[in-house]
Amino acid sequence: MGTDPVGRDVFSRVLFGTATSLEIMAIGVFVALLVGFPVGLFSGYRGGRIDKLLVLVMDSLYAFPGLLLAGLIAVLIGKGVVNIGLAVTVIYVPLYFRSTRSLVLSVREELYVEAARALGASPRRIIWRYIASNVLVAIPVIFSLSAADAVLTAAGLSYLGLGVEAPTADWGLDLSAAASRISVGIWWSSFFPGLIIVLLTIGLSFLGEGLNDIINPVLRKERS
Amino acid sequence: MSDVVLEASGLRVYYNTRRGPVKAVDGVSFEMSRGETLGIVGETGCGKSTLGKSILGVLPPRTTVSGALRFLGKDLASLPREELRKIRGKEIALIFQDPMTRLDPLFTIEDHFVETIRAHEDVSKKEAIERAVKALASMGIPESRLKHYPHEFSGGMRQRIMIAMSLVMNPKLLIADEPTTSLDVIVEAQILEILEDLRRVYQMSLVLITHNLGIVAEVCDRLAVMYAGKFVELGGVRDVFRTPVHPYTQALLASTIHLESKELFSIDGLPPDLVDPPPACRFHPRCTYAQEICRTEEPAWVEYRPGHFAACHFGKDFL
Repeated sequence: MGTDPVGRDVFSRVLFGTATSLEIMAIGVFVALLVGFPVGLFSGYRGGRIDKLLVLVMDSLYAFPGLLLAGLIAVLIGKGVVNIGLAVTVIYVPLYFRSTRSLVLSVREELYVEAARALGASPRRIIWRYIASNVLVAIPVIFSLSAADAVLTAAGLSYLGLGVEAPTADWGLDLSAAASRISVGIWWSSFFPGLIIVLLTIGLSFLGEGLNDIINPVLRKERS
Repeated sequence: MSDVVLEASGLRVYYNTRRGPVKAVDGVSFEMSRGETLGIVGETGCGKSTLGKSILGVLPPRTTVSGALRFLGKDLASLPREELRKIRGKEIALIFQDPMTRLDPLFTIEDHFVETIRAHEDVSKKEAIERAVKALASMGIPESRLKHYPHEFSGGMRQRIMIAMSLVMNPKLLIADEPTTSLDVIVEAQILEILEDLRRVYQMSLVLITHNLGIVAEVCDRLAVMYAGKFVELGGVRDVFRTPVHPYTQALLASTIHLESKELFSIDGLPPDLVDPPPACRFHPRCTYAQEICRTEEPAWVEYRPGHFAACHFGKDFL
């Protein structure tokens, strides 16, 4: 795959960049899930004023352009892999919150929830065992899509110079460094980081599809 | 037979909507003895199911319940939530009318049973499963299907699973809200027989909510006829079937189908709007005997025979 403008091996840069990308993605998406899911569950189940307030806050965050918001936060809390991960988190918390909440609102009214109540299940059990599990079914798809999106966001941040700093191996960073050289025929130092971003993004999307088939008993049956 | 299991007096359930309160149950009083079967019949939307749910306290939010509801002497309204939860499913069980959507799609049948049993009793999973197997066997569901998910069963089977689940704790009072509506007559007969056995063996009381007067005639001791949120007649099944007092009951009985019936009798008009029900006697707009008094004065709840009550100004004329 050749070397990049400063003579570093493109192949090993791409390999090590995977680690950076996956770390940022993992932190970003997991923390977002850990925050967004319970808050959405609580907000949707409780309803009332707290719910309205939370929706307002989350919608304001959601309305903000993601890359800009993450960039802003990255500037505020400083660079570095963990910090960029947390900056990416902020984009996806509203996503998880919104999808969880809307699912809770519909699952809450399901007749099997009423049936569970009639059979003497406690409120805590109803939230965690009946509602949460039925909401969780839908999460893998959102999870993989947001993970794919997070990879793009992270790369975008570094491309703009708002993400991790050189000399950390990072696809976005390599892309931006190599982009100006395409015109002189040096395509490989930007092509391979770009290709791997595409591959990872597609792979994560497929993962979500697969997870959905495994978790949902109805789909699982159809497959076997 | 005389000890009272359930006592409702002046029970009212209003659903608060934007148009105003929907008076789904409006002043219902009755008593249930141990081992007794009370049938509740009435048109769709007259408040039968609401009445059933209100006994368990599983009504939707923003619902106003007033009046007293006593179960084995305990006032259900004043019980702490945790106490009420313990009663639900264990002492009082409810069979819902729509079995297709009453089972959690992510739980196997085994999970459902273990969950239900362990919500009430501190037993091992193994023991809970043993009980589940027994309960399911009595409904004709083999043990091999325990690990299956709800979507793998037919509607009739799901209904039987629901019934088995309601009965697994041997409740003292069972409220069956049209338990056999979606089943064929053979399974229906089997289920009614099982309910009958339980009543005999465990002295279980049964509230049977149904459209089917034939089932009532066969299974019930007493019959309550509900119209627009109120009881219009209550009495022994024999009395009510032979000499119905209230014109609505008469019309209801006349509209059942017989082999020799040539044309089916139907009651003119529609069930009333429960937000703004007709004043005084709620049946008067559809009643063939209605007089001026029916529009202005609410008929009293009169005992026409021992244990046979009705609310009609002209009840005496129909005796």
